[in-house]
Amino acid sequence: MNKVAILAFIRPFYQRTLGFWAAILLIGGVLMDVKQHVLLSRFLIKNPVAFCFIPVLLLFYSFIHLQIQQELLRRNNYLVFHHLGLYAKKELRLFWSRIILLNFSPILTYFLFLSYFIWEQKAFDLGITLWMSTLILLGFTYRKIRQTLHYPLKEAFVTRPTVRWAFPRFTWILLSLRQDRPLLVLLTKATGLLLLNGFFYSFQSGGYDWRWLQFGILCVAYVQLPLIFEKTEKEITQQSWILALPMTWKNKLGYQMGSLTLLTVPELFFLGWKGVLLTSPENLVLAILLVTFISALQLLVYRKKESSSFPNLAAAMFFGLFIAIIFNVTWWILALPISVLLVKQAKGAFQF
Amino acid sequence: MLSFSSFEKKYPSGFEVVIPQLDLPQGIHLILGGNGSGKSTLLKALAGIHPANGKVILNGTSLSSQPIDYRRKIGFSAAEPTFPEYLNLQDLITVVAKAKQSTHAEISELTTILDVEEFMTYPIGGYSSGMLKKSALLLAFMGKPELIILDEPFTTIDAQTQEQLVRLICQRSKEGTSFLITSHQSGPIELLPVTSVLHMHSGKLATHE
Repeated sequence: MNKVAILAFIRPFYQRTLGFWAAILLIGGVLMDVKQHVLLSRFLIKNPVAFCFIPVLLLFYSFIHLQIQQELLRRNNYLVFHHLGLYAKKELRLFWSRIILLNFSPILTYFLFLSYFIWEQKAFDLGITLWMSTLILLGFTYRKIRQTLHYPLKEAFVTRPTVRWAFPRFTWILLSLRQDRPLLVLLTKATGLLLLNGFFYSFQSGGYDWRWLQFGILCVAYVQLPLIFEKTEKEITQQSWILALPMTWKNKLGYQMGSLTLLTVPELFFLGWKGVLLTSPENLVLAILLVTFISALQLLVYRKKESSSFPNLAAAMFFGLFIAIIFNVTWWILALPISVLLVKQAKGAFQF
Repeated sequence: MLSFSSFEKKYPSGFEVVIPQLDLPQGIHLILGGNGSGKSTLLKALAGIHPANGKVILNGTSLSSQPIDYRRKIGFSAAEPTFPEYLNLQDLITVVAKAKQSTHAEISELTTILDVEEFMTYPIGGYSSGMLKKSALLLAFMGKPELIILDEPFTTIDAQTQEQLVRLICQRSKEGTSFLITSHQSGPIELLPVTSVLHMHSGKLATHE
């Protein structure tokens, strides 16, 4: 039974919230050290208003978790799990408590960490608030899932927006990502924009030259990797029939450029905004570099996605581009070979 | 056995299945109709999978007021069954057996009749459409339900399994189980001792013989 619970309800939850966890790991594990975590915990305990945000965030997390579990239960291939509603109360509670506890385990671990400082500061009222709200939300989650399983399942209808025009093909990826992985899109974009903002902020201090912004663009391009993986997966599986259509290489290249540019619209918009504010047309070069780096990553994912050498190749490409930036290599020298490789890929049969 | 009144199921597209009143005695009932006539919609609602308006009562148990007791009495096999690809049939049997209080002896009998032993432990992602249909049929028969609803049970399975399935349906029917079956395949259906035939057209019950 554990295997069923893990494969059917725990793994898909973490898969769907992968972007969120990647952002948490990046912020909590890379950008913050232990000392900062300790300082943040003490700050939260000393400021009850800030502390109130924790139950609110937990409520948001519970809501997302419940939405994902209910959406899974409503899927056609999950109809067999509607039988869980027929379980005896004790068995159903045991089955779901494992799933809920494991899906909340990172949050609960952080709350345990926070509880140490609550105990240290003797702020027991905050501790009681924290754990009571956690217990209430866990209980509520279980109750809602049990309710869902008891009654006939609401059908999931795919409703197409009432538009009179056909969506161009390069928008399909964004539409399907919006449908299936909204959290991933949101968090990737949030991380990308946060990074860009940080690089621009430090650049304005005057301590860095133009290459600093180019390095920032490289980092932002690499942040898009989960989205590029998802895009490639959809193109290879759901839209594989398109690969067999007799399309010209210009068509295929146009699609790739269109869809990749569409995915980076927030970052491009940010660059445009900064370009206007700083009256710097050089930001156009940064925009070209961003699309170039993302195209290079797209090529790498297409060709080496399944290969065990992919992490090494991605790291080698990062350092290669980093060295090129350090030595002030002109942007078109970077863009040209990547464009040639893109054309070559588009010219291949059953490619892109 | 099964009676429903003021049955109504509406879709956002405007399509609706409306059956004002119908009483079916114990036996094998065949539902016929063209593609998109509302057969599968009706069956899924009667199986308690998707909601519908109206009163549905199976041997004194109401779907709306006693959904759990009602669903315990039902077995359902979809026309195009799908399951999570990374699980195997053995995992699904474990889930359903606990829910339907199915015995080892019954599971063993069904696995032999439907010839699923060979692939029971393989991941479902590698199953053919016939294997998926056999798996769904096995799960529907588990726990000796009072009513078994089979949507296109004879499609995609081989001739030998079709014969075995006809025998199984006849045997369970003699033991008191009722069946609601839809099928576009006339061959195996002709071998069944059908109690009544319902014809559906555009979401309405056209005739009941």
